[in-house]
Amino acid sequence: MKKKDGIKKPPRDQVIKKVKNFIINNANIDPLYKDCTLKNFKSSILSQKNKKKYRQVANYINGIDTAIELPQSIYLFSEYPGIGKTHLAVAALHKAAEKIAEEVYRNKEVIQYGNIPFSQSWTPVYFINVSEGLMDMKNDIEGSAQDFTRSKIYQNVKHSRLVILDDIFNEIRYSPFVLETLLYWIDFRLKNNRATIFTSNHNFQIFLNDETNPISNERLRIISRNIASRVNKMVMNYKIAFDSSPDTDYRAIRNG
Amino acid sequence: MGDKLMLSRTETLERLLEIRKNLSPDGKIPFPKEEPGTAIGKVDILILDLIGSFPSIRERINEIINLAIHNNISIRTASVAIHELISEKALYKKNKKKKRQVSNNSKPPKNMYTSKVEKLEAQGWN
Repeated sequence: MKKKDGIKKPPRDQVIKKVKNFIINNANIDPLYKDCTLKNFKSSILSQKNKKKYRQVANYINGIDTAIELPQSIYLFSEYPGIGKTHLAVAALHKAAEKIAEEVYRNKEVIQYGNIPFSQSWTPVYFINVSEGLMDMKNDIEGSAQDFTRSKIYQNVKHSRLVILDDIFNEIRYSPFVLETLLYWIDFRLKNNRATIFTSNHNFQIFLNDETNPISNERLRIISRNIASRVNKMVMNYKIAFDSSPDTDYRAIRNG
Repeated sequence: MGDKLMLSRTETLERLLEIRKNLSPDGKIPFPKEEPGTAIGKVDILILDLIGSFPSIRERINEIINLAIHNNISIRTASVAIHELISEKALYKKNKKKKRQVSNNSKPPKNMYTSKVEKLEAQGWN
């Protein structure tokens, strides 16, 4: 008799929830946003116009497994902050974590017995606030001889199946480090068919045109254009522009 | 079908026209019957909402739909014709705006869009 014949399988839902929580805990989500899901997004406070856009994003989130497989990325834009872009992006990570948990439950028998055979470095979904993440990477490598491409953050953004690049292009300064790292990441993700969720208060298309590109240095302007053209390819048909104003900061209501 | 995420606008229009045709097989109820209390009325209003508001070509659109309902043209032909009519209209509008911009030889006119989002929507954003 096999040893496992005597072991009782815990309920499926309980195991999937455990795996999902494991994935979410490794996803580097800011504590402020960690519990953001579609269920607790107050869409009722949105304008009629934004409700329509919200429904498009909700459809994307509900089909996130297809979006990962295709892959189909999405760009969530609003001129002013507080409309709920990051909340929706994290809701997509939650949904993706659930789908991935169901998938590994189906494919790995050991998981059906309640064991999670993954290390803490298993990050199928990953969140990074671009400015803060780049700063963390810089601090990690400063004073050491280590190449920044060996940084854990750098690798996670490259390889995770679904990544949120939160507040991309919101940087105060477009330095060579910022732009080159973004290009490495986005180029890799495009070429390796990995879905990405971008949130921003800036329209990436300004970098596509020399007349609207805010960067004066020619080399950096070219890099920024390359980034933007790749983003453009990734988010084709899924560029969502929320209507916003200085009065539409709903974070206080949402978090209250 | 199958692996697609969502129907396109044209595909949706074709499906709705198919339903509309089946609701009035003898073609006795001309399009549009804008009475929200009836099934046909609801479908007709939905078709109009889907196509969008183009007052100057509305009559032509109605004609095309009625031709499809009466089996004079196929639903596919009708949807292509409507699509072309609308594209033509949009292109005409776009060119008109472009001409105005060139003739002013300066910044785009103020209040062309009520918000930045409308400007982005005109450029293909959702």
